[in-house]
Amino acid sequence: MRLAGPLLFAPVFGFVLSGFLLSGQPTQNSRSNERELSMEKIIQEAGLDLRNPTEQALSKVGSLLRIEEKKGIWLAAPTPLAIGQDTDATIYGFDFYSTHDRPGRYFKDSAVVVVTRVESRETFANLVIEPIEKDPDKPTPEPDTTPRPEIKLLQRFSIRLRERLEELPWRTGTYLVDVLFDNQVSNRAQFQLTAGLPAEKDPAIVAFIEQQRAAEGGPKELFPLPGGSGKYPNYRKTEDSLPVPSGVGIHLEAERVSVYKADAQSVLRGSFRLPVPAAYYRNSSGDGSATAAVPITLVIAGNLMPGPFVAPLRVASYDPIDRKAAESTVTGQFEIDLFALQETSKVPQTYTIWAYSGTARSTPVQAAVITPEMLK
Amino acid sequence: MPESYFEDADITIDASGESMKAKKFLRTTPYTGPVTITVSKVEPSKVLTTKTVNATKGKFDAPVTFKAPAVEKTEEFYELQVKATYKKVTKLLLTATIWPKTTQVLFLDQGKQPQKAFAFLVKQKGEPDQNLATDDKGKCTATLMSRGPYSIAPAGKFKLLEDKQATAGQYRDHQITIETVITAKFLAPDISQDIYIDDPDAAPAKKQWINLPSKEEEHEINSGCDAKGNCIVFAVTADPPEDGQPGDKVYFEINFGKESKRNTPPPKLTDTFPVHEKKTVEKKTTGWVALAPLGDVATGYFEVDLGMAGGDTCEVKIGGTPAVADSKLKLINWRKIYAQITKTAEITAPGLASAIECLKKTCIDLEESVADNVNLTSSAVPGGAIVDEAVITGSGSGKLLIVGTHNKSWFEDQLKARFASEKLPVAHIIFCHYQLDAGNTAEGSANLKGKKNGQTQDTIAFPGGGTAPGLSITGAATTGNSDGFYFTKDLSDGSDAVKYCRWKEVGGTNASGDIDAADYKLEYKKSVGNELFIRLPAAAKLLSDGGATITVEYKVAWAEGNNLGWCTRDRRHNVIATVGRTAKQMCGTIVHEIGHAIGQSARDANKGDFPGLPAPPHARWYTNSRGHSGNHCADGVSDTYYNNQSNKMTASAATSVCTCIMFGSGTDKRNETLAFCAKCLPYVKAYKITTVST
Repeated sequence: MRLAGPLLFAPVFGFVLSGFLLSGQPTQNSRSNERELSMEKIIQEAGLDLRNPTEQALSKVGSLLRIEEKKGIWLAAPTPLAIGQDTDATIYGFDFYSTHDRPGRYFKDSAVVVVTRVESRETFANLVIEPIEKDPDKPTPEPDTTPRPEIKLLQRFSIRLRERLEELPWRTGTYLVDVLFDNQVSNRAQFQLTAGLPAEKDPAIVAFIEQQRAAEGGPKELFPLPGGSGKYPNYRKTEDSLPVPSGVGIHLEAERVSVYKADAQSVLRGSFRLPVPAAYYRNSSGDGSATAAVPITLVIAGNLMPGPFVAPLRVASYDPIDRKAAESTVTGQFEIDLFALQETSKVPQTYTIWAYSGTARSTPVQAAVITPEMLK
Repeated sequence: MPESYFEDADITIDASGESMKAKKFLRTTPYTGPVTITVSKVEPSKVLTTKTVNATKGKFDAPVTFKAPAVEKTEEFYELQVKATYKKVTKLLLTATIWPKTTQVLFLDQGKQPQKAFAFLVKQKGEPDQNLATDDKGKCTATLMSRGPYSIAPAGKFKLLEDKQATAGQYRDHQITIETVITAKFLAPDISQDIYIDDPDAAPAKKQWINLPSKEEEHEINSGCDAKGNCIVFAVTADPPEDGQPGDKVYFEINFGKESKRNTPPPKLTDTFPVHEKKTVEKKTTGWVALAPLGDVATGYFEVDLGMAGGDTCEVKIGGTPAVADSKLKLINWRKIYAQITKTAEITAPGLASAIECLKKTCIDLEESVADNVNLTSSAVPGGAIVDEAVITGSGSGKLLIVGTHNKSWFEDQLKARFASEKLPVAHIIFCHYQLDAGNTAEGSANLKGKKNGQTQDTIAFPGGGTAPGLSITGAATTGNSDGFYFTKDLSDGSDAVKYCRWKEVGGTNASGDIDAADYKLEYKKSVGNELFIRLPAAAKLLSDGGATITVEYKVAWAEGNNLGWCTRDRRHNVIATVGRTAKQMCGTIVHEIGHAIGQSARDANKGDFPGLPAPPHARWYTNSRGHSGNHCADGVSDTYYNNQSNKMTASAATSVCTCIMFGSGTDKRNETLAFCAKCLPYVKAYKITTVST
């Protein structure tokens, strides 16, 4: 059983760290001026060179996090990286937690790393640590119930992003990195990937590259495609639709418990306000059809069998769009049947669902799956 | 019946009446007087000669004789008639066919060179064949032995290619072009060599290791003739070789079995060498090659691509004629995977027989390269890799080899360079006692309550030391009750596991100090990942007993595991734990991991690895969403169970029904069966094996 502790839905510390870290949650920037919470400052204070980290400097970062009692998962990524020179894309992490917060939960078993390439709105996810084959039938030891003093533990880890995410596109652009663990989320690390060419110092070239990036996009077909016999997916506003976020973002709401059986559904509702590149505009001639196929990726982790399960969606927006604009902020809502998605697992457990699109990331929602046998 | 004569033969019409027609004519019409005898050709009608003889009472006064005129060069033969004319009556005395007596022949080879002293046969019905030979100019005038058609044929192992008139329209002036007809044999590959191994299940086929590089460059002479490589250059010649002449033909017929549906590269005759009259019908390709000078032996070449699918067969027949009856051989595609074992001398490696037997059914030959095996010593391995048994188990006096993520690179590097430089696929099997991942440290801090009213002092039962203020933590608790273990040594380098341990008073005088080894102790409790006990030293105890809160800080190395088997990411080396495992269990793990290394269980994203086969996955494939990380096979579980996506592929679900070694966990049934299921097998055979461990 997981206990709701202070780490659940841990805040994302939203400081902007040019060169190291970046938050994707502007609403949480209120704490960004607090020096003691600045990872950048800690890294500077520890003398940590992320390209050539020393044991001493990494240890110092850990010590500072402990001294400042900054519980949570912390990431630090070197930036910029250059294609061809930085082949590993190794980022460093610090997991600072209390033994009282995580009975029966182990970071290495189920922590998920999520990387988004902002320009193309592509999101990829995998376990932070390569899993070792374990027998799913192997019983999990009962939590240690011996009364013990609370012990605060700090553990370090590193992630070679390109090793863990084999499909990660290695193209110039902006990459955002999260680590998810149950309902926790790390700070959001960012790195720029450049071609490593001197020419990139020419503003005209930089502008040209930006223009090219803006033109990037995936398929314009909606996915999942509406129009089947069932009620879902639905991209039109209904009585049940979630209100559209006031700022850029994605809201989710899921059926908390669903029974998996024939013809059953597990509905995930969402709403969004998102900037969409012109590449995702659709040909709509005022006939009421969708004006944009908005790329949103669901990252779903199970509490027993973590996955993660990644479902890239392209949901509809019906907002009017200035088609000459390189990017438009559009709104919309969606209702998806999670059982109907091939990418999702239907194994009975509790799933935590996150939605990503570019720099936006939703707060997580939970959806449990049970079987009819569990009702008997 | 017409009579027949050679040209220039003396033809006599007997006066006594042996010529019945004449006799009958004369007797029935006893005529006396002059008779005009006309000798003429029938077609075209032409009078050859006439003469007048005298007859008395129906008989010639004397036999009528004349010579048969020569057969013209433009004639094969001609029909002759003899007629008698008297008193306006014409009677046919004789009809005869006139045949030539000689014929001329010039023998040439395909290069238009006259063939001197060339033996040949003149054949006529009813006569024994004449054995003749040409003169220095390749010519011969042959006397025909019977009056009738004839034919000329080269003697020995030659084939008549063309028999034409030297001068158009003139028969019996033959210009004959011949070619040598030889008995063909394979120069290469020479399947009598020891390197060619029988496949008893596909007799008489010999194994060709299609995934091993041939010592010869591809498409070069002898390429593939060392039983390696998927392209074989067949070299053919005459048997005996001295019979072969440049230009001689060797016919071939290639029958591709195409047992696998893999179609890239397709099993085929390549275009590397010129081939004549190439023809392919379904699985059969025929054609011929001309021998060309190669040293003292005239040799012809053609190249066959066997494709890349294990188990595909190819039968090649050759011959001096299109019947291709002289020689044949059959090859079957096999893939070789070498096994290099790395371990310490203390570890007895299990026999690989079960793994070898399993892979044999997929046309993979797993061969332990004994000469490349590595037996490590304590001084050779990184610190912490070989530890005292007591460090791991709390007792015992042996030495144990520990391999995990922390030192895997070093062990991976024990792979012999030859496998890379010679591009030989090898499964590097690293046998260890335990597979534990070390290199983790946990830095902990806890505030221990002191002894004062309303508060219970935090105490522990220190092993062997009674109750004392302090704390304890288990390895499992450090990892959320997962697979964490504390040991007395840091397995990543052999140093002490406890990196530091200290105390500090909260408030008060902020007193502090180190906690030395006498005050912390590890107790071996495997079920909880062992337990670390930390006791406050005397100074701190005094403060605690006085009610002070004491912060204890420590840093301790820990490891996780023990895992049974592991295929390292990217480089795909097999780390196999041995303690408490049978050879068959370990072989099951080895085959399973090799299976992953060769694309099993095939998934949609890898369909490019299986061109021609139905796009994977097959009907029992499963992946992360059903349990186990990666691509696995649940063959054997029921439709009901498989089709219910809420069912995990647990070991209990597979017990007693699992038929495939690619099931995600090592059930007894899986390892006992130790086979690829019928659904996976075509994909295993179709996979192009180039590397396993790198």
